Amino acid sequence: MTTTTVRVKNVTCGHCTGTIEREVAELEGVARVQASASGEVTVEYDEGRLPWADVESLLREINYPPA
Amino acid sequence: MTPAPAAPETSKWEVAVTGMTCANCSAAVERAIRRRVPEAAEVTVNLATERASVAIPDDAEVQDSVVAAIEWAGYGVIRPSEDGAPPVDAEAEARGRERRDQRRLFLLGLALTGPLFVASMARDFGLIGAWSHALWVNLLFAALATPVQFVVGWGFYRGSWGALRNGTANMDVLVALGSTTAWAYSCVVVGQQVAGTAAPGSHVYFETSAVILTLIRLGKWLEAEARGRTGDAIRRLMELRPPTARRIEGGEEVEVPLDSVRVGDLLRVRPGETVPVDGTITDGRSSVDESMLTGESLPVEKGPGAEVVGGTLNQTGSLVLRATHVGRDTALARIVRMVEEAQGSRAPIQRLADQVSAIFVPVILVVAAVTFGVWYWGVGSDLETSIVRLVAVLVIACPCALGLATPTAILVGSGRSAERGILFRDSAALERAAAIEVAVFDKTGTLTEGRPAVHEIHPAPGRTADEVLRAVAAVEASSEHPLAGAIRRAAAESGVEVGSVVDFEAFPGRGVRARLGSIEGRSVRVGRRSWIEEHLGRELPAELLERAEQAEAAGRTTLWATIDDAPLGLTVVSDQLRPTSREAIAELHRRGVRSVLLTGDNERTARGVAAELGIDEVHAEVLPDRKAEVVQELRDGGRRVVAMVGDGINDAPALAAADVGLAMGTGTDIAMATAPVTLMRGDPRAVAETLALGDATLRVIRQNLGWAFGYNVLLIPIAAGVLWSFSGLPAPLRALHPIMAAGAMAFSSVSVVLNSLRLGRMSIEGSGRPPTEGSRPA
Repeated sequence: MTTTTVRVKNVTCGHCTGTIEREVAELEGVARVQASASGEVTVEYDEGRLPWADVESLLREINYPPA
Repeated sequence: MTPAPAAPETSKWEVAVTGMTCANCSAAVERAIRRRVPEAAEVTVNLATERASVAIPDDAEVQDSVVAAIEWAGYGVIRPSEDGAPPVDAEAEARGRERRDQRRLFLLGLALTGPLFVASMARDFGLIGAWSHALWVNLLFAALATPVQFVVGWGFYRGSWGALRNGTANMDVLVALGSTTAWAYSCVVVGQQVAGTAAPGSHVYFETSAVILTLIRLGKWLEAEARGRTGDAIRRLMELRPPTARRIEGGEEVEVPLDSVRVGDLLRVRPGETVPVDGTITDGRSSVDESMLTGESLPVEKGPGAEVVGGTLNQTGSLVLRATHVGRDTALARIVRMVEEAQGSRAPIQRLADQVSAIFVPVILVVAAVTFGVWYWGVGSDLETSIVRLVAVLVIACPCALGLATPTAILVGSGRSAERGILFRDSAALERAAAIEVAVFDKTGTLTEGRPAVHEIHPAPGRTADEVLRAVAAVEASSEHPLAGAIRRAAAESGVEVGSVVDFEAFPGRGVRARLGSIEGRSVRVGRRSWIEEHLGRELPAELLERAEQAEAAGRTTLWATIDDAPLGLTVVSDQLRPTSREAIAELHRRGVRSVLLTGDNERTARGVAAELGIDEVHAEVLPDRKAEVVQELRDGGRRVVAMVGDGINDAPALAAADVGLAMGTGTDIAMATAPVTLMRGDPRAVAETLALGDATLRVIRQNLGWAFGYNVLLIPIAAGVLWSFSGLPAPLRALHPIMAAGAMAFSSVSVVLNSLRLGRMSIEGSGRPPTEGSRPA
């Protein structure tokens, strides 16, 4: 398990953190995800099953690109 | 495209979505539907109208999966009614439901608490017989108080649980803890009475818990009613859209629902009708009343080629227009979204209130515990008295009003300013507007009409005016500069023939250069004097220089032209000052704000304008890319709060550099502005109004915080019983009963809301026009 924290753009309210958590949690290989209103996203994931680049590309896709 | 034969028929299905607060929300809903409902095509989610619209097969299961997708994303859904009519305004629906819920709970509380309170008080004061002390009466009291505790008061338990789970303590915790303590103590007493172990003279406090919960519920109901009123500004804007439009189809006019209007449709708008969408007039002339969007009271004359905005009122003539923006892209929809986003954003001062609340509640819990301890062990009072004091402290401390202080003021303040044609992007801008010390104005289009016209043309010796105009017009034909429009119009009016040019090149802030296509190789430059002189390498004709100085002193702009490195002539362009500019500057001075003119025009022209308007400070000949730097210098490292007023597109960097950027626009371009504040009215007096509104809103917020907080701080010691030993004082002051505490608390919440609502009626000094409720279209 690896834990990575990244700062993302566009987080404006509590709904955003909810969206990020829901969407990232759906990825295969994510064990835990937490987003804060200040724009920090912490993901605990299995590096063997999920490359970090996939998480970043999902974040970009849902319009919260890593800063 | 023809669907594959096997594909089921799809039709448009629309639901109302609740809970969306910002653009990210609508994007999240849209994405959730796309990802989770493969059958859905053409998904659009509109934040302003709170609707999700999808094209799906006519199948209840698919509809359910759309609803499930929206709910998965964390938002609520209101389905369309049985007859397939589009859902009612989700916002109004949600507000109405909250009002009804709160009212129902309050009435239930009142029905149970009323008899309980009356009977209990009558018994305590010995007004009814000794029978009332029988056990069955206490059991009846318990039966009345218990539903109040867990039905009327359920929301407080739920709120407390939510807060405690997140490791915080909110006001619900205080209410729940206070009322539960009174109720549970009474239950224990009744239990002992049933068992026969109760101490003689034991008293129950069922009426206390019931009255506390019912009164606070009353406060919540009144709050919900007030919130419904504060949302009126937005609702009034939404109601400006007519339900149908008159589309011209093959020469015939057909009335169609507004939703089916597409970009490019030709629409007929008759006199007295509301313009349905944004569009360009293709036929007809009329005067259009745009006051509902811009706050500008005079109707605007419009003819073919002019842009009209959906929601404005066509007054005199019949118009045909081609739709350019429909649905969520219209100026009206954008305005509504902007206002909603501003109302939903958190003001910096609100964060302070939240932080204070987060510390306040735990502190109160400690104070309550200490109060109990001092009374029970310190003073040696009985358990009953000590518990009453504990409950009174918990209830009086409830900072409900604190939570209302900022949001209600922001809600009413931004709604009020929207009515005046002033849009705040977020509530931080509203707050900063109150602190403006320096107002920097761009000249063209801000203090002037922005419709420059050629005033006079002076040809160089040996040239003619027509020759000058022809050459200058040909070169400027490709330019987007505001002055170029003036030249083109002058050429069209005088009927000179304008040829084409090649090798066009623009030097921002300096001028333009091109070669005339018709006469091979002739190079023409048009621009400011310093740039022209630089290339000419010698002085311009003295006679023209004198003319130029006269024109500039009168605040006019001069454009020099050369042809093949020889002087060609001087064009004088004048841009009428807006009639209200002078008054706007004077109003700012009255408020102690320093005025600054920031323009690319030459020094003399700028000084001429500044003298005419009474402006304090002039920065002239500032190239567009330097304007932001000047604004930064004026900010003096953040020591002065600087507002920049300009048009949203050309002055964008300067607007961004300022503490408060005000973009002034009219018509459809307002929607493109990205400044913190958008002035929809072409009236510089709106700058002082912005300041006044920000000031008033902030003042109300401070008053509210004072009301909410000062009251708590003042009454907590009394609730704790510190005045007990002063036996000369009236009884309610010596020992604040929990019921009095609950009443006072409800009063404080209501007074905060009423204070905020005052903003909606406030008169704004220096504005030309009082709010004209009566002149709005129904």
